[in-house]
Amino acid sequence: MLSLLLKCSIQIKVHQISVIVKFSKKIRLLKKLKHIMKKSTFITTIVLAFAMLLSTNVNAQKFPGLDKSPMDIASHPNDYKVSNKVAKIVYSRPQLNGRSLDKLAPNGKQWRLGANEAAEISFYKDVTFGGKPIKAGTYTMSAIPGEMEWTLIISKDLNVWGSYFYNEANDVARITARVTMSDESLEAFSIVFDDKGTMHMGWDKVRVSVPMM
Amino acid sequence: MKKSILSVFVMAIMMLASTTMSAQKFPGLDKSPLDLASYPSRGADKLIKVFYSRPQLKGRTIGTDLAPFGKMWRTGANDATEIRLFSDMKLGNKVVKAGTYSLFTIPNEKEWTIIISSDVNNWSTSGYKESNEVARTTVPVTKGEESIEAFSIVFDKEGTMHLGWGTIRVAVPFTKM
Repeated sequence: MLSLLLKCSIQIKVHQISVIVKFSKKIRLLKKLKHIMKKSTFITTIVLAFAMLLSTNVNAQKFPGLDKSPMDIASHPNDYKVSNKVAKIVYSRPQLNGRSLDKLAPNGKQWRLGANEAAEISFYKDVTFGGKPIKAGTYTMSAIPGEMEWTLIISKDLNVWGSYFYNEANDVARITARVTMSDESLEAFSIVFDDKGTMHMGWDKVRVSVPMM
Repeated sequence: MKKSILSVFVMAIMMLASTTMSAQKFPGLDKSPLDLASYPSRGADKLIKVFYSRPQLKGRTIGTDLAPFGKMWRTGANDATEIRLFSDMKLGNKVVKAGTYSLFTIPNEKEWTIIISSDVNNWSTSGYKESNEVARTTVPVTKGEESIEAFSIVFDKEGTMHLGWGTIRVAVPFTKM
């Protein structure tokens, strides 16, 4: 009798355990399912959001902000009312921002005369620029700064970024110009023509002038 | 004694005048800086380059305070906007030969008129002559979600020139011949 009872209780216990095991298995499965569902909804939301982002990106044309080194024009005659120009320079104007010219336009190294694209100079008639004859046309202008004098390079190359694509074979003229020092420091690299047509460049205290006739 | 004070004063003024005379003046940065939009945007083989000045809204309204509707606009600020074509291009149905031109626009609420003129190096719209018009086309205005503070021009990969200012967007299609 006792043994029967024991057997019975053991059986019940075994049964209980198996039920518990089965139940816990079910719970685990359910949890797994839930987890998978959560994951999949999460993924689909991400995919959808991304797709929406992409579609707005495709539709909306992006526009550029203002350049840190803005472009500017120097022309001769300087007066904006005179449209019959002799020369026009389009250049970008980097600023010192606490840096020295040794870093920004180091001596002995070719420099794009500004920032971004190399400076561009257009002559609307044949001129003598720094003593060198130059035919009417559009050119790029770069420089090799030096302590006492700068070398200006007028090249047939156009639309070049910096001076990385410089090709000596396309040189039109090389002009040497003396350096003078000013008392006043210019924050932004500047080019300006005076009334006589002389081109003046200035940055920090360095000044370089090139006569044009 | 009085005379000597006067002479010192005169000399001082003369010295001041001479230093200002010899020192070349350089211009500061422009309030509406010049910028360049080119197509293609990368590489030296350009088809189009647009030089334009970039005025900023500063709380003003386009159509009334800025770029008034129905009036010819320099498409920017300062000098008239310059467009350079390095190859013959089509603007809408019109063929424009390679060369340098001015880009004028007549803004309106629903559509803008785009004008290419052979006048160059002119201040604002002062140099515009109807006889020098090379091409004229009308394009619709669309509304952007984002407001752009500085007047902007940019080319997309297909060569369409996009103008954007405030929420105004104008697309001008250029195609290579």
